[in-house]
Amino acid sequence: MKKFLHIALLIGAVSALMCSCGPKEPETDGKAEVTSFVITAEANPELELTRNYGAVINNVEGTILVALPEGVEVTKLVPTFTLSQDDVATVVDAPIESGDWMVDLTEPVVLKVVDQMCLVEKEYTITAGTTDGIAELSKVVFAAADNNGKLTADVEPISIASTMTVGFTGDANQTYTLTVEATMDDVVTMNGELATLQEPAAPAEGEEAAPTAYVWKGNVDCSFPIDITVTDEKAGIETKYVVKIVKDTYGESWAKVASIAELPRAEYAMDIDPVTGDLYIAHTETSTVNDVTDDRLTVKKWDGSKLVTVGEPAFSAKRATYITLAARGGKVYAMYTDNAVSSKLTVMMYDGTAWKMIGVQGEMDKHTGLSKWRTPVEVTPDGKLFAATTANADIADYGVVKRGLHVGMWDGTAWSHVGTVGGRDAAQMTYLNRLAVAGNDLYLMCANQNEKTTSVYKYSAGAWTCVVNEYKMDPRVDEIATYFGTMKGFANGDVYFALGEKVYGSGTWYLQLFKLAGDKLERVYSPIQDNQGSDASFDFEFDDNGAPVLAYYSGKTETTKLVTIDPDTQTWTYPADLGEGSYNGNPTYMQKNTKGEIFMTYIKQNQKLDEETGKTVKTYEVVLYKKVK
Amino acid sequence: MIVLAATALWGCYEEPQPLDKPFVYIGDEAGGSKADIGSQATLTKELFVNLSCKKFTEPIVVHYDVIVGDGLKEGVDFVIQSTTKSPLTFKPGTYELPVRVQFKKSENFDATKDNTVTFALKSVESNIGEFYIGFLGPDHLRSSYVFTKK
Repeated sequence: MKKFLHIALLIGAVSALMCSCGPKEPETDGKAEVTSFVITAEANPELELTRNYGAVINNVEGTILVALPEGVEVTKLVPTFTLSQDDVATVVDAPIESGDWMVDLTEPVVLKVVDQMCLVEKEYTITAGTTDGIAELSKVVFAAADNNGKLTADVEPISIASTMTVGFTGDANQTYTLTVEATMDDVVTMNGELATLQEPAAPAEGEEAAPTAYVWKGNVDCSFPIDITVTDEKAGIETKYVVKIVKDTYGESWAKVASIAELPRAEYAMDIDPVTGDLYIAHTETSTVNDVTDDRLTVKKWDGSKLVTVGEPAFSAKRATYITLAARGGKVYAMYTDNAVSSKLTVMMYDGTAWKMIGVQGEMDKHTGLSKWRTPVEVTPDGKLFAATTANADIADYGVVKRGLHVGMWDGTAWSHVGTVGGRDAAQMTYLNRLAVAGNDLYLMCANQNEKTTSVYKYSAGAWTCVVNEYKMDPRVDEIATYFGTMKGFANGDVYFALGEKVYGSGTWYLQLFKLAGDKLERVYSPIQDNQGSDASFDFEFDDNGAPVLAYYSGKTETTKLVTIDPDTQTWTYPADLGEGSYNGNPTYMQKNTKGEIFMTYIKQNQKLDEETGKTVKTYEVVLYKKVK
Repeated sequence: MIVLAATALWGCYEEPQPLDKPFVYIGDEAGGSKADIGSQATLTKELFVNLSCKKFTEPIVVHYDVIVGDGLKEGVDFVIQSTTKSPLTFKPGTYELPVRVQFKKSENFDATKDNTVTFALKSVESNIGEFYIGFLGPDHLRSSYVFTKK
C-alpha cells in the first residue's frame, strides 16, 4: 500500500510538471513588418549628420522613405532597423541585419520581411529623398488686408511658441483669415482643416524671384483657440501649435487728447504738480532770436482741453538738450544744458509770471559735475530743489568723481553739494539716477553699473541714509537697464520702482514692478516680458482701484504699449498696442493729477519733406494720452 | 516524494503580473475634476483627455458623453468647440487632446435648477487592449468633469 502510494505520488508529480509547465505552443504576432528604420549619426559617421533621421514607413503601401538633408550622400547608408516578432529581412534573398547592412539608395531597393513562425511576408520599397528636417512655423499673423475691415492692423503673437496668444480689439467671436509661414514639404492644417498653400508672387520684370516662402492661409473660428498642425511627411515630423485669442480692450481705456507736432528734436519732459495738479510739458521749438536760429526750450501746460504756452516761448538762450522738469506748488523748474554756455546745466523757474534763472548758469556743475544725460530733478515739500547727476569729469576741489553720484540742492539762494550720499563711495559708477518724494522724505535711486545692482537712499532732516544697499534683483541677472527706470513716491510713504533686467543667457529683457520693503525691493506681480531692450522707456501709476498701470516702449513693434492687472486673474493684461510708432531713446511719462486723472506722454517719430532741400527729414511729436475709462 | 511534489509545484509558479492596464482620464490643466462658472461670465475653459498606455501604432478613439442639467442648454449657455467634440481620435504619438467649452451669459438663469454640465468618459476603441475609464481603482477618479454654473 505504502509502495503504491509512493508510485502514485511520483506519477502525479511528474504529470503536474508535464501538464502545467511543459512546453507551450509558440505564440506568433501574425505579421511581418518593419517597425522602425533610422539613419543614425552613430552608424553613419562619414555623413557627418547632426542628428538621427527616422524614415517614414507606410505599412499599407509597403514603402519606406528615407529623407536626408540636401547634399548628403545616399550611396553608402547603414540603416538601423527593427522588425516585428520572429521576422527576418532579406534583400535579393540575402539576409540582412540592422546596423550591418550598407545600401545604395540612388535607386529604389526592395526589402522583404518574413515572419518565420507564421510564414507571413511583406515587401517594402525603400527610396531616398531630401528634407529640411523640420516642420515649424516662422510667422503667424491675422493680416488686416485679409480681414476686410475687421482688423485695423495686423495682429501677431509676441513670439512663435507651441502656445501663442494674440489680442483682438474687435469681436473675436467670428471667423478670421489666418496666415502662417511654414517650411519646405510642410502641410498645414488649422482646426483639422487643410489650409491653402499660397502661390508665390511673380517677381517684377527684371527682378530675381524672391526666396521661396511657404505661406498658408485658412479661415478660422476665433471664438475658440486655434489648433495648427504642421506636418513634414518626408522628415516624419509633426509640430502642433495653439493660438489663443484674448480680448485686447485695454487700449480703449485711453484717448489721445493732445500732441505737439513737428518738433525739431526728440527732447522733452513732462511733470504734474502734486499740489495744483497742473500738467506741464517741456520741449524744443525752432526759433530765430537776434538772427540766430536754434531749437530753444518752450514749456506748455494742459488747461483741460488743450496745451497752452507757459510764459515766454523758446526762452533758452540757445539749443536746449537733456531736458528735465519738476513742478510743485505752482512753481515750475526746467533743467537743461544750454548751448549758449557750452552746454552747462541751466535751471529756469516759472513763478507764475515769467521764467527766471536759478542761480548762475553752470554754478551747479561746480558742485555736482556736469552730467551729459538728463538730470533728474525733484522739489521737496519744503520747496528745495534737488538734482542728481552722474558727473562726467572729476572736480577735485568739490569732491566730484567722474561717473560718480552727486546731488546738488538749491535752497532758494544758492546751490550746494549735498554731502556724501548714504556713505556711498563717490567713485562707484552709476547711471539711471531717480528722485522721488514719498511722504515728506526724498528718495534717490541709482543703478550701480559694474555691480549690476540697485541702491536706494533717503534724505531726511538734512542727512542721507542708505535704505537699500546694492540690491540684486535676480541672482541670474547679467544686465540691468542703463538709462531707463522709474521710481515713484506716494503721499502715504510708499515707494515703487519699475526696472528692466535681463537674465543671464536668456537674451530677453523683463520689466518688473517693485515695492520698497525694508531694505529690499519686493517684486509686485510677475515680470512683463516683451523684448523692451536695455534702453526702453517705461513709467507707471496706480488707478482708482489700486491696480498698477504701466506704459512701456516695445523694441519688437517700436510702439508704446499699456498693461494693467486683470482683476479676475490678477495677472498682467495682454499688452494694448497704441499702434503709433514710438521713438526710443526718450522717456515715457505716466502721472496722476490731483483729480485722479492719469496722463501719459511719449515721443513719436514722423517724417516730412523739407521743401527747401527736397529731402525727407525726421520730425518728432509729443503725444499726450489720458485714461478715460 | 514530498520534495518531488514541491519541486513540481514550484516549477509551475508564475510571477504575478504588475498592474499595467491602460487607462484614460479627463481633467483641467490644474488636474481638477470640477469648476464653478459665473452665470454671467463669458469665457472659454479647456479640459484635457489623457491616455496612459504603452506606445501605440494605430489610432485610439475615445468617446465621452455630455450630460446637461435641466437648467442649461448646449448652444445657448455653452458651446463645445466642434473639433473637440466626441469622439476624440488620438493619432499614434498623441496622448493628450483638449476639449474646449465656451460658456456664454445665461440670460434666464434659474439657480433652483440643475445647472451642471458633465463631461463623462464613456468608452475607448483601441487595438492595444481594454482601457480603464478614469484612474485605476474602484472610485474611477478623473473619469468625468463637472462644470457648475452659479
